[in-house]
Amino acid sequence: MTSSPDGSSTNGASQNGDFAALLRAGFPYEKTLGRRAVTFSPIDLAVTKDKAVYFLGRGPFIKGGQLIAISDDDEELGIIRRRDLEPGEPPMNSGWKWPVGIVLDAEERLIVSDEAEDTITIVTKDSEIVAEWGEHGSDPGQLDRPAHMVIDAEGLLLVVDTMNHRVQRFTLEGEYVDGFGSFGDAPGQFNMPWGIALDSEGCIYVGDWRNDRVQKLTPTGEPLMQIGSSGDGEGELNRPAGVDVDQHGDIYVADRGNNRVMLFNRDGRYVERFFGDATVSKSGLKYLLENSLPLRLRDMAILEEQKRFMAPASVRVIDDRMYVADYSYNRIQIYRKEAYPLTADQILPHPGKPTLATT
Amino acid sequence: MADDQIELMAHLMRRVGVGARRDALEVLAERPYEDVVEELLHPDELTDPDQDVFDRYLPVLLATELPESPGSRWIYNMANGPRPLREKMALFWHHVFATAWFKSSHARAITAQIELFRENGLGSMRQILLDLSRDPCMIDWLDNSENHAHANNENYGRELLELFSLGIGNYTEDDVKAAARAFTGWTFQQPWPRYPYSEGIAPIFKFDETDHDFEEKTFLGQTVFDGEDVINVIVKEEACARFISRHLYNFFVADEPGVASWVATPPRDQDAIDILVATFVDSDGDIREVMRTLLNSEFFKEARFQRVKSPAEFVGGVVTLAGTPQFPDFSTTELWRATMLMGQALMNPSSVEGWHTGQEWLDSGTLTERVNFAVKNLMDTSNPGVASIIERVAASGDATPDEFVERCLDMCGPLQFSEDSRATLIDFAEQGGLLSFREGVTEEVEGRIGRMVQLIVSAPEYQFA
Repeated sequence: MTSSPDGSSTNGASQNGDFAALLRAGFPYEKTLGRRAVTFSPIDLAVTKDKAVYFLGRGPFIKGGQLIAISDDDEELGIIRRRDLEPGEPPMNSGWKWPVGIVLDAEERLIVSDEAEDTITIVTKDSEIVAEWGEHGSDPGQLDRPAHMVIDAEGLLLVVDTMNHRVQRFTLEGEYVDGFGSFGDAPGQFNMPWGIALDSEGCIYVGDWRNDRVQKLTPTGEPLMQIGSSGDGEGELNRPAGVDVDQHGDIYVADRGNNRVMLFNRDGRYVERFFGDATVSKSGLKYLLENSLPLRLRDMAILEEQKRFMAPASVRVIDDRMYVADYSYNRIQIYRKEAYPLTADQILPHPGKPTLATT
Repeated sequence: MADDQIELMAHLMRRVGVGARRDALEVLAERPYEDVVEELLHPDELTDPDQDVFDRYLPVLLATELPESPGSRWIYNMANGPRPLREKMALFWHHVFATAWFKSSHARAITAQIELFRENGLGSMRQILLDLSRDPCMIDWLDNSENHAHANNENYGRELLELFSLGIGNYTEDDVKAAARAFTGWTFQQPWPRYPYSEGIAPIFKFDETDHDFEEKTFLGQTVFDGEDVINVIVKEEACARFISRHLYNFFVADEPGVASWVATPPRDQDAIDILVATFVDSDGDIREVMRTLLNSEFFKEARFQRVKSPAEFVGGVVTLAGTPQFPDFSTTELWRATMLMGQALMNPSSVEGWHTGQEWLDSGTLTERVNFAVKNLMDTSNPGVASIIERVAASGDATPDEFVERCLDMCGPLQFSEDSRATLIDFAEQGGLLSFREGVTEEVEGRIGRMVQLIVSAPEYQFA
């Protein structure tokens, strides 16, 4: 939720264009959820209305995917689906091999993409498979390594079709509707895209992974804006993964290759970056207090780097909370945005140039 | 029949890498041999493709907690990367300085050690030993973190001399004690524990001066103070030049007996070793110079099929021939497991002695694993490498059984087969009669060529590089 300076709620009311500017009061770190051996290698996440977090993971010990639910209080709510092919363990071959994206539909069913199987699966919170569809190929309606997804205002599913360098739109039953994009680096073209998000006006944002940029497109896929360029400086990106857009039109990018999250405003102007500020989660604290060896080793170690992101794969913004899937550290870091929309009466018009007269 | 230049390039690529497909060999064979060698000796001028794709599609490789992930990536780069000698030198040093994941279970540490070899495997012997002595994974592996100023642990000092640089018979017990004292205080910063998040970044070397013996020591007759002085003395010893040269000969030229017997068994080719030693001494231990001498020598060029392929070479060679995988996919992490089943768990050898090479790679179990792996990868005729072989065999038109066998041996190598093995292949070829393309490349023709390729890679001769 975002509040006005006078305390009145603006949750959901401030859309991309109906404010003159934002007073950015801060974006502090809030808390960490999950821990190793429970929330393995989160590559994407979804948050339900009751703030339960669904970790979609694939990692070194689960030779495939796992979907596990954690409460906002870091309590395990159960494994929804898991694939495990470790020798000696019962094979659960029906699970996902390379799950990569998760999104909730209006009924809070979980929709998961699997880029090894080229499938989209709809599963309930009770692990019931409602639908599974997808076919490998490059024809319209076929998929080649589907990645992140988003549902538009009409209830259609937009799927990033990575190796076909395009975005395709389907019904939730898997019926192909339309698509756009081709291979290349011109506006409107993609090179192995990954993330996708929509703003309140239906514009589409795509994490154009191998072009090191995010593209903003119209609802029909016409290019509007390119954000970012290759590098590790301010506003630059190195293989961006997940993207999201909040109620103010702010654009968030999981700048995976640079181990950070980038924030751009609705005009694509770079605002700030997040490097990670993790503290020990509730479940992590419980583990540590029950195990004397890691307690001693932590006591001997330099811990500064441990709070940083390592290969963040996804960023999801729910109201004023930013959730970052901190892939290599098996956890999610949560930040809380504090910003106040301003009317044109409250802030001077943009002068069109910088000035040193700052008083 | 393959021409001499193609055969020579095939030999070179089997040794500096894991082999190359016929189309790549033809491109290489158009260039002077020495130019190709020179390019191989300067891998830093090239980059590995698709490493970002690895990080994306096999993100387990970013969360390296098992050797399986980085090991598979290593084999993939051996097979698909443009810098085969860089990867092969890393494998060479891994053989010599055998360090295992299992003691610490810290995969980032062993991965960082291999990266050292990859970065500087063609550098100076002095720097290589210095890097090794400061490597946290080695320090932990051979207990130098327990080598204190007032309570020496001689494990690293001893193995540095016995297994890593000089060999038995070229130092005394007093030298071991002096080396151990010189390396006191060479330790590493305690990394954070794996739980509750992950092992995170690679551990970092630390010199603890409060735990170092600063007193003067006598090592191999010279006065030294610390580990760096010890290494400076070692690399000037002819014994070091001989020890490393024999290792290089065993790894790149022809199989030698096990290291433990070197003290009593003369080298297979003393003249060759002498040539390498002279380069080592003249270049002040520059490994690139020694490798330039080795690869351009006649003894190297003539030593065809004189080595049993290591499992890493075998697996890398098979996937190169088959063209699988050419792009990181779900099966890529199976590469490490395949070599493990053949007796070589990369980054996880069973002891500091490393692997026993040569014929000791092969027993009934590991040979079965090799054959199964090769057949599995080559049985699909749509795999790019197999499809290419079929296309090239077809391009020469109809073939008698003899011609059919010759063409396939040529495409898979070129390979040299014994008369007995060749007779087996001809028997198979004769069962189908003339290999005819009058009706194009039919399914039957594809199947016959595919099965012939499977027979070739299942033969004893295919185990040799």
